[in-house]
Amino acid sequence: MFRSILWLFKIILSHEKKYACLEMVLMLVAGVLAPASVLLLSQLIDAAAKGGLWVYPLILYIGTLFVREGILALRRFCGARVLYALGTKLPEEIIHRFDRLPHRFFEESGSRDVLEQVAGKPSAQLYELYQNIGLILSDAASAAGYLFVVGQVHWLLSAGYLFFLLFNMGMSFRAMRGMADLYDAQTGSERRMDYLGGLLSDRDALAELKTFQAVPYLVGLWRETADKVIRQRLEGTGRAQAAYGAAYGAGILWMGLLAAVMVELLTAGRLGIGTFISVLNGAASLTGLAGTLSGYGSTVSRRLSLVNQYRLFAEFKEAAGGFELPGSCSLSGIVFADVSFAYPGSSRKVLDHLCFQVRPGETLALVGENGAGKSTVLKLLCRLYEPTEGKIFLDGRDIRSFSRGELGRRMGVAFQDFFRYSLTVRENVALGNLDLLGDEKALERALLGAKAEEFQECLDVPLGKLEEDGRDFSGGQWQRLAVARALFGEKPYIILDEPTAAIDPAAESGMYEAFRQSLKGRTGIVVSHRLASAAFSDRILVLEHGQAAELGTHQELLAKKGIYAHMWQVQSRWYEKGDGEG
Amino acid sequence: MSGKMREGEREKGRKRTKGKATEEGREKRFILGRIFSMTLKSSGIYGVLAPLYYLAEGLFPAAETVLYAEFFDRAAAWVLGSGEAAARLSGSGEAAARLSESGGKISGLLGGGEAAARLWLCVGLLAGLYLVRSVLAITGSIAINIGVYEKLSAFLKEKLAEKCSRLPLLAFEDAKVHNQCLRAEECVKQEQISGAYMLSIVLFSCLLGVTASGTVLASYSLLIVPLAGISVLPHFVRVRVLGKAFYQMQKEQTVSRRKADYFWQTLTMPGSVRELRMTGASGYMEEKWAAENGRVQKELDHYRRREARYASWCAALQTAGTGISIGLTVYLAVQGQISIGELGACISAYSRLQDKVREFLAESGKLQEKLRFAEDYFSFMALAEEKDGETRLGHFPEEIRLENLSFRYPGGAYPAVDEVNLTIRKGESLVIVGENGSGKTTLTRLIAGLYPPEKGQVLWEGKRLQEIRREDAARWISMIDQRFIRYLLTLRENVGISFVEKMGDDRRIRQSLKEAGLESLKEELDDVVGKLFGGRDFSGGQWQRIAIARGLFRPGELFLLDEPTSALDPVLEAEILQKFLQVLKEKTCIIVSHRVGLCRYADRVVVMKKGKIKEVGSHEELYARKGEYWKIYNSQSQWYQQADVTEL
Repeated sequence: MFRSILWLFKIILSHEKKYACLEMVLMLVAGVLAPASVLLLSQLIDAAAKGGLWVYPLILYIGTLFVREGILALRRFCGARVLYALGTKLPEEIIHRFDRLPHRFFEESGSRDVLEQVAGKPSAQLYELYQNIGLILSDAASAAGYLFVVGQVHWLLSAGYLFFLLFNMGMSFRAMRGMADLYDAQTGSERRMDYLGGLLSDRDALAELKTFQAVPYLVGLWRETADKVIRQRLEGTGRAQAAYGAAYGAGILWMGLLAAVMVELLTAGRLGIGTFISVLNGAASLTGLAGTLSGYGSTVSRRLSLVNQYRLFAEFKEAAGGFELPGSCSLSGIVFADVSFAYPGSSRKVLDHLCFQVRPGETLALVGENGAGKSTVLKLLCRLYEPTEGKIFLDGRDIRSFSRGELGRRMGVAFQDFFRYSLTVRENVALGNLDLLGDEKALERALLGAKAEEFQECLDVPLGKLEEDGRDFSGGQWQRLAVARALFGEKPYIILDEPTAAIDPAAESGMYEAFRQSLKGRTGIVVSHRLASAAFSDRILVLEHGQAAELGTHQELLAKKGIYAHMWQVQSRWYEKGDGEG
Repeated sequence: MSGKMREGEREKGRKRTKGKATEEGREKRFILGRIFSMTLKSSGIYGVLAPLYYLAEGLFPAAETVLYAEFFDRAAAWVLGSGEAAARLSGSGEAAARLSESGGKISGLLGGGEAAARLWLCVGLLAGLYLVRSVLAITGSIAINIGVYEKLSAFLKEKLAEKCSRLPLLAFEDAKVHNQCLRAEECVKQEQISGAYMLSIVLFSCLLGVTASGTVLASYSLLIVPLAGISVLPHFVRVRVLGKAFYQMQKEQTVSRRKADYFWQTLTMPGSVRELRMTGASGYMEEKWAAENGRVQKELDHYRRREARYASWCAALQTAGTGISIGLTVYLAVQGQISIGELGACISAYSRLQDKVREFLAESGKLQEKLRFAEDYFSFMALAEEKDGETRLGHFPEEIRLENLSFRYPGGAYPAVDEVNLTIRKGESLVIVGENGSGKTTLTRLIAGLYPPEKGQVLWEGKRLQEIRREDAARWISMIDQRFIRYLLTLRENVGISFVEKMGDDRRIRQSLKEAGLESLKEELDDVVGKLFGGRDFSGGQWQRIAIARGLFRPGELFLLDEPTSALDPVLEAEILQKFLQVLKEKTCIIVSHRVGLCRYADRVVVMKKGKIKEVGSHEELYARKGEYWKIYNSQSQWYQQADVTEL
């Protein structure tokens, strides 16, 4: 916990040193002023009671009030400065790290959670945490001051106050943590309730549920969970309130002790009326401190997990850049040389000593069942992961020797789960190579290659809902845009992952024809479920269990009567007879 | 877009009620009344206990002030030894008499003087006051947390979910209803109604507290109260002015914020980070983000500093008010117009009074907002529900006839289904083909009665489907939808939900799973499925097969299969489609499919284009006709044919 707090300070001070420090100091001073005013008040009342010189103590007392307000005002300005620095600089730092992190951090569930937390823009929360720690220090300073003040009256009061403070804080803290833990433990149930409620207000789910007459069943499930949650809450609240009860009891004892000692001393003639009134007057805030302190403490201890997330994030190892290999090999095109791969934390080999070459200028179709390793081949090629064994060559160089920019300039990729940028059509395509943003010819060629020539009319129309006049595209239109992005900028290598998955089957054949044209003279890999796409490729690689099972032209593989021939037969069977009868 | 629409509605709402401010006021009170009655209904005794605590809490500061004043006065009387204070005390009637009586007992016990006994009595009273307050705080806290927040929220959530399920399905296609639903959900999620209930009680408690404390202070000196009150007023102005400025800024920033958030997402989401990295465009995105974020942050900073300035001035004024009040009180005390004890009690009473007034001013603004949310909820709850038909139907009809059937989605420019005539005979299988957006899915939903026709009718054995009891029609229908649902429940529920009555029948569930090609699934039937609740996640293809098992589990007569195999790989797809035709041989099947090849195995094919039926007939008939169907069929088989030709 202490280390996390240090970390928090480090993060915040690294972005705004001066004002952040000043804010802490101001909070401490404001904390000390509260007990100080008790002393001043006692002098004022003594003076008033005796009819003595009361103007100076009055000015002094009111002066302290003003000083305190002044300090708080300064603190607000400091806070604004710190927040500004955190709101601008911290996210920038985060993005830079996101950009440099190896891809596996995005896919492994543990690190993905961390990244999601950090991507939630933690600036404001981190500052709040910092401020809460400041408030704890401030209140602690007040408490120390009060300890001193009541100690002046009698040592017993100091001891009593200290005991009360610790006991009360411990109890309140326990109650708050108990409730917080209960809420944490119930997030599963809450999530289930949200989920069930969501089903009941979801259009598609309702279509099904109404047809199946299953709405009452789901409402029943929901109610069951809700009842359980409330029952647990009632129990939890009972326990928490019992702890609060103990804390309140201690408070009453302390007030009783304070009043009794004061009365005792007063009646014994050992206490002035001023001190009597001012100390008892301050008793409410004295007692209240315990509550606020434990409140801040509980918040801080819960929120510190955010700092821990951030620390984990900062400790993720960044991806190494490229390096130059001495000399160059003669392996042209794309070569997978004995490549094996298992996902981190798994022993199953997704790719198992895979060897193949895509010759320069050739288009290779990658086919195989779900889970045969097709998408892993692409991930390795894009260096989202590094092979566990073996090497991959591009243009005769180990791909590890390419810097990221170099690789990107050589290779255009359209992933199956491509991204839909809410930018203009032009930007969507030109993100493939921003140097050519204004090159109409290049844009035209890329759009043509993706059978998206009609988008030329609306190059500068914004897409998505970000702009008021933004236009929304259908899935197929977005996909063609993603393919155009990959084709943009005359890159020698093109990777297309299920490029027609979202396309209307009626339009598919047109797409294949366009691909055939635009991939001429380039080296390409196309992954597809639909074997018809394989027919336009030069050669076909069939993956099975992470190994190259068959490789050859369409005719060769059909003649071989192996896996590919079987798949082809199953798919084309739908059409064979119709052809004959037609 | 949705945001815009929402604004538009608000605008309209404002215009409508502008001229009728009084009516709006009545409406607001009305809503508060509904909130109260709903709370009492759902939370029972808790709903009463919560406000009781706040009433006591409102009176507490005044009681504290009175008690402390007496306590201090007696102390002062002891110290000064003057008879004046004691005389004032004993002169104050019955209460004092009772005090001195019990004080006498205590003094007897302690063996001290009467004055000392009175001091001890005050100690006891103070302790008693705190004890009562503690007990009330604990009961109040339980009542608020459990009764008002938990129970009321659960009640509202349940009612909302039930309401959603009772709306006609078509309502969800309506952007307006959709937005209304989102706002009602927001209202419940943010506990706005419970908040409104508590807030109105807190406000009342504040008023009570201000009045009580003010009365006590006024009894000391009439001058003090207005002084303490006026010094807080600047806060009120501040809250109003800054509140408006903040709202204005938020409104102006919505576009920038949305953009900044969007660019931020592209820079942090795995899918886009991966792409930006390949294309080297992350710098470009970052610039875009930094530009928007910079603007937002600068304005926020400006606002924060302005707020800090305002707050500081107000605090200075308030402190000045406190200072003058204290000065005045001290002066009055020195003059002998009030006692030393009253002076002491006043000093803390000022800041308490000011805090209460401030709280009242700050919180009262929030009530409006909460009531607006509550209004959203109530207006959603008032939407018309789906009407059930009354005609009974004891068996599955021999034929389903569509007559001049037309349908248009709310706000749609063209009819999605346009003048369709078709007769479906019991036991036949029908494949509907056509381009995306040609109305295939809509047609199946009309046949199932999920949407009401705009024109024309769906006749089940001559009876209009809308007039047949839902229950009587639905029991014959099963479906497998393209947008199938991944229920994050148990495997058993995933399959059995289509026929809840037989959910407990293990053999039957396994049988359906087998028919969908899932016999090798390792999961137990009662294992929870899906990552969100700790189960295993399935691939898209597996989920689809679970949906297929679900559709087959229901003992229907009419099967509506809408692209039931879109997520499967081709080999499996062929297997499953063939199995369908086998298992459902005796049933009435309507299959929407991209896979035109399937048509050869169906009794009839329906070709749709732009909402109209272009062609109907068997595969052979339509293929021979060389029309629309022939075109679609060839475009798909072309690649396979070409390859075959070259092979030959």
